[in-house]
Amino acid sequence: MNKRTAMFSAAAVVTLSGLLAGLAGTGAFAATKPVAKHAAKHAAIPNGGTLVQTVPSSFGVNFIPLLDSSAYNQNVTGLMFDPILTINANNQLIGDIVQKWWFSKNLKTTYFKINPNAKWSNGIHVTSKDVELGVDWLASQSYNNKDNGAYNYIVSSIVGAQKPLPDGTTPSGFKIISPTEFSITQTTVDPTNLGSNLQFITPLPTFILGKIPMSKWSTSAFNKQPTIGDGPFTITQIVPNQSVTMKANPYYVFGKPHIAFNIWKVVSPDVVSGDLVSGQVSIAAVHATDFNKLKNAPGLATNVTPQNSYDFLGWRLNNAVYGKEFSNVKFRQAVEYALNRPALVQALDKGYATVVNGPFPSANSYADKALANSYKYNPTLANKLLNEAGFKIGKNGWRTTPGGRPFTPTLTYASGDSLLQTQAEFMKQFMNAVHINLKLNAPISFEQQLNELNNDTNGKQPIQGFLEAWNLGSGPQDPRGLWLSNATFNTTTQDWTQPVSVLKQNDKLLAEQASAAAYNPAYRQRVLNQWQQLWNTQLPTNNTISDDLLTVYSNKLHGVVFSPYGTLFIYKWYLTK
Amino acid sequence: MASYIVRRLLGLIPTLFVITVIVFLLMHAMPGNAFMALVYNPKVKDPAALIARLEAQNGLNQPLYIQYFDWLRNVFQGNLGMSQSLNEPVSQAIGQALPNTLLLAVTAEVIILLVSIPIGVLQANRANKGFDITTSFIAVLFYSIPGFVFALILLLFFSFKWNILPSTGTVTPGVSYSGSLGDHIIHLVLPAMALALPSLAYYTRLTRGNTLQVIVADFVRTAKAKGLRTPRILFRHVLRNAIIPLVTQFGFDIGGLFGGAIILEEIFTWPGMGELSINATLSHDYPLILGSTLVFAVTVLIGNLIADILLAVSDPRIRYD
Repeated sequence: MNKRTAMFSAAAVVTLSGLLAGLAGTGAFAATKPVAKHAAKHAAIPNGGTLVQTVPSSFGVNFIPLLDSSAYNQNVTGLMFDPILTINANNQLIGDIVQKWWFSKNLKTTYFKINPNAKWSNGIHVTSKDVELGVDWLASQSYNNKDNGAYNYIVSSIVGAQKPLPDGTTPSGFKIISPTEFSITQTTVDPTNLGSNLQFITPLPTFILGKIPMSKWSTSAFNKQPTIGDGPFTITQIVPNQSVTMKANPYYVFGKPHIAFNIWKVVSPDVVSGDLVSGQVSIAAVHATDFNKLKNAPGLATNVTPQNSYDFLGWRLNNAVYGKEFSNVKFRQAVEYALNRPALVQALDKGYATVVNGPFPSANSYADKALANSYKYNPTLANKLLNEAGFKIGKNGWRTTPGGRPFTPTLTYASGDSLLQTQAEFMKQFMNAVHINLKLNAPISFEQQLNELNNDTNGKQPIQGFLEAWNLGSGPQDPRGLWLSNATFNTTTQDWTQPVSVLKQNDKLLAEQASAAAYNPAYRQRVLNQWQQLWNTQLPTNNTISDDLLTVYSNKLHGVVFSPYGTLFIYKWYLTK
Repeated sequence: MASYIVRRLLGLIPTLFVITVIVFLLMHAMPGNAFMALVYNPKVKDPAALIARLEAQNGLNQPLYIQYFDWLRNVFQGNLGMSQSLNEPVSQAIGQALPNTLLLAVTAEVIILLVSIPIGVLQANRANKGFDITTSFIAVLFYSIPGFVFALILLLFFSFKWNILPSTGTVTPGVSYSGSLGDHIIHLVLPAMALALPSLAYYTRLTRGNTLQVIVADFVRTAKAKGLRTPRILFRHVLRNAIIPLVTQFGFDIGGLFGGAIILEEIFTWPGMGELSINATLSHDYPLILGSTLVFAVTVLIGNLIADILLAVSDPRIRYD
């Protein structure tokens, strides 16, 4: 969980089975089935108790949803405010505040029906007006020009919301049909929009925030301690920089949670293991070393779940010194064969990780399973590919560039993480074993690494090879955000400067997986597989491993739904004595 | 004395100016800023534009000297700016953190003085005897162990194994006694002990040394000849003279304890200035870095001033006028 590099939400796409269910008018089943199951179990399950979860460092006090970009704040707002749709452990869209959804014939308009059980924590029903306020907020000038504005993308596909609107103005693509029904019309047909964007629209209480000008929301008392929410828990106490105590919402859409109180507590990662043993913390993710120590500790249970994230070794293909060499696909293929990734799994994660061969880790529901066995460790083949590419071995035992220059690429990595240091040293050994004289740069701050990666249009920054990681976050995936040839990451951070023909094919496939035909899940998966195979051949980055999420929790805690997308459905969790 | 204090206070201004200029320049020498991580959200359609807008809103697109003087002007108006990572006023963040650090530092200082002075005096009175040798050994042992090691040892036994004291924070959330005096005290015990123990050893040695020098003075012999009881001689006559260097040290230690608290606050998740400063630095939150630096600098300088004043108060031979 506390991965060493960028933590971010990745581009998400709609889960097509959910969409098709909506198209066929059966979306309600997706939402009601778990509720019914939950209700049946409800009687037998004990209620009460206090759950203590942790965050590693202090957080700000802005609790209006999406106003703050801090992941730690979102832990709190995520329990206080439910969005219109959510995902299940299989990465499929399911109902939340919205119970049913269906599409117009031209697929541009989506109709939504609010769950009749959706209420605010004071018992007032959630209405289309509340959803409208959530949309207006993200589209407003106050949110976009004064406040963070980072989540404008959620509504930017709605007709009329392409530019920030005066506060309180509703985009023309949003229509209220009735207090429990509304529709959203988007500018283009795009099966990924519901899952990657609209899903996150969060209703806001009009009876409170509707009375406060949006320009004053960030300084309002409601932002500092919201009194009302539609999520499973509501805030009862905030101790600044230390903890947020929340109590179960009796009017929660899926029934009152079994656990009476949830506490988010700031706990240094250094002491989390001890706190788990002493019972001061109920559940936390830990590193493999601690995990093995805690596996047999009394009173604790453990869980290993693959994560939707991966580490990678990147090369600046536009680098002024070695860009031409890095751009040779045979070089990157050779590197992939030279990396002993199973050894990395053992050394870095004590076996709790898997090798990654494509743009999706194997835990991701869209991963092409056919790629699982590609690029097995084979230094002989790596040497052969390097020889074929013209990287000759000189008298000193090191390879030269095809032009005959000494080939001494450098590897940059972020400071502050001993595991990253170990990973870098492994990379050096792997490269040295195939006669590439890779040198390690002194570690630099993550901010400096970002800065150098993002300001390198002329390829003169010192970064040549670098270690990074992606966390693809929760929700269905839309690879366009990362991998379109003109996506920010490919023009700045990473590189996809392949031959034009490859780029065209890449962009064509990515467009195709988001076309009207891709409303058919089998079709979309087929296209995504083709794209993953192209990616696997071209290797714009050398992906390495995906760490498992290692969770340790009290054996009194039950019902936790572990998934590659996080722990889900907290209202189902319960504590025994 | 009053004019001396005023002169010293006025003398702080150029020192603070230089400190903030240095920190400001070093801070901006680090590449990147608090908004750079937004680039890593692929959902943001145009991260460069968003970052540029946020930088402009926060004045980061201005030349450095303008940024600095804008900050300085705001400081003189009582405005330390907005924290870019916490999205709240810097003064508010510091206002929440500073009392916690002060409480920790003052408690540690009280523990140090209450324990070390009597032990040091008694050691001197029984120099080279069993009590002196034993407590001196313990003192040297404590002095050689860093505070964070004490922190981990204390946590291991009192929190993790025996579970009698909490490991983190200043209050217990979600209970009826949350925030009560007792609740605060049980949270304070471990971090204050971890902060105090190494210094406690130092103060004990200092008191012992000073007392040994005073204990052979003529006035002590006279007191003994007059038949005064040993405790009265030690704690009334000897201690008043032996304590003068300690008082000076106390003033200097205010800044030292603030610095020492940084690591311990991180271990105990104590929401003070240390944790705030570390988070500010890691997130390149310029206004928060400058604000917390200012507080640290003022504390150290005021500590030095207090040391000088206490010295004058405790030693009538010293006059500043």
